[in-house]
Amino acid sequence: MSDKYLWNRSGDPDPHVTRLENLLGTLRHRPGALDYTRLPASIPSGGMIWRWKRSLLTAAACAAVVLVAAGLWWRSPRPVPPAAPPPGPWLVQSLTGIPTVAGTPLRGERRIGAGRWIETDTSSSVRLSADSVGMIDLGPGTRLRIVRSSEGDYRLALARGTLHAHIWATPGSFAVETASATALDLGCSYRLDVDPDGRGRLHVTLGWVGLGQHEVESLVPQGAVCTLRPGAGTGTPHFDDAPGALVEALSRIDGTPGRMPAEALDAALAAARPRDAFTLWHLLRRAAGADADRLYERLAALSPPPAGVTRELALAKDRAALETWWNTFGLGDAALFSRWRARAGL
Amino acid sequence: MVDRVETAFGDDDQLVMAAQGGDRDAFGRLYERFGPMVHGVLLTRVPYGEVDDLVQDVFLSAFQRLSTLRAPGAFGGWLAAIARNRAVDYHRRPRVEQMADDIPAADARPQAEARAVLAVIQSLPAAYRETLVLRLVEGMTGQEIADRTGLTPASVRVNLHRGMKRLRDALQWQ
Repeated sequence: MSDKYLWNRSGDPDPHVTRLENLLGTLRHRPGALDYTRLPASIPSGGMIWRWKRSLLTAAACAAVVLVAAGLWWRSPRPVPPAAPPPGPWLVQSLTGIPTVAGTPLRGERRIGAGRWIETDTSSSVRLSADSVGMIDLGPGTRLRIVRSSEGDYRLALARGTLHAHIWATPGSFAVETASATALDLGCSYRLDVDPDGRGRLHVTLGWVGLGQHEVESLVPQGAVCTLRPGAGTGTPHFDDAPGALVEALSRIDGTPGRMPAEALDAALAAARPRDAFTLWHLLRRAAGADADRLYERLAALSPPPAGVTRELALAKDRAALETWWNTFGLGDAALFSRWRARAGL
Repeated sequence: MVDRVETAFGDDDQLVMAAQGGDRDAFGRLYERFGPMVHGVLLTRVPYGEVDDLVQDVFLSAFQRLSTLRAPGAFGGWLAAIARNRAVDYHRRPRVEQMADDIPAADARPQAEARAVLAVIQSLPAAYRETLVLRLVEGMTGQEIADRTGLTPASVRVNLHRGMKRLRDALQWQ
């Protein structure tokens, strides 16, 4: 495809570029008038009349404030109670039924901050939105807590239920805790389901998500799913169109502590397509001994390691080498996750 | 297209000189012409909801310091540098709980996918973010991006080509 259209919109339109233009054009600059009143008074202005008018307006405003304050003082001589703490960034809106916020029925919408629980019953659903973070819908039967909501550090805890997230915050600044693992947003949209016993499933529909708990972590790209298991952390992610034999084998491998079941590993290696290289990459990081040797061979056949990534480094689970290999899959830069995981406590 | 930009670029110098003399109408014309560029530069660095306010900050700051600009033809690059510095200042602010004025725009829902894609662009290497946002969000051509930011057309062309490839990969649009 020629870059002419990308350069100056001439030539044959590139369908990817036109799609992005239509989508992203909704965020385009909408010019309003410059607000010169935000300038300090010493800045040159259009003339003395403007300054005189502004002075007059300022004096009038001050006088009005004094009058209103005096009136309030006259009508209410009791001490003024301390101001309520400022509400948080999350606007919570009931979508269906009557969800509860901090144990109180929510009718319409309200703004909440850290520490609050949101709960939906079997017939209610709710939307959380914050302009600097994103939009999150909670389905029926969901219980969720706002853990932190500081600028650049937004964290929720999903105890049970379903969460659909469209996140536009800076990658790495939004995370959702579950009983099994923490999902770290890296610029994405996804669905997260968690059962009351802590089992769950993550499905990424745009961008990718870093999923981790302690030393176990998974990188889940767009179009992939990953299971969550209490006590075992994250499962092995795979594309949602992965062969059934591979998915079944992964379920047995993830459900077996210690060495991988031989038959399941055989099945996974046989069923994996070149597109499933990222799944074998995850298995390789967890495998040991002969299992790791076999995984290396199959992964190298499906997606050859780049220069500098040797068999020894890969089998030694050298982080830099494995991340370099990951970056050849075309699924995003693994260094991004490394950069943010420590900050998110993964 | 190129002719129009070259004509506008010549006009820009006249407008800068007039604005340096205190002409607010001239500065308002510069705001109209360079607003999308400043908006795009900020959009790659700060949360979407903060951008409009920071655009105002950048232009008012430029208006205050305009007398220090010696070469009117360097206005675009100078303004882009102010915008980048303003974004850095924004991130240096103490982290505080968001206040009640953080109310989503009425059209937030249809923008959700756009903002998710924007977040993907923000995850790309810095060299590609600005040119991609100026082209795909602000609708500027490669030549206009070069004229407005002070980058060379060759740099813009390379950044657009490589950045678009990285974006296709990130979105898995093969």
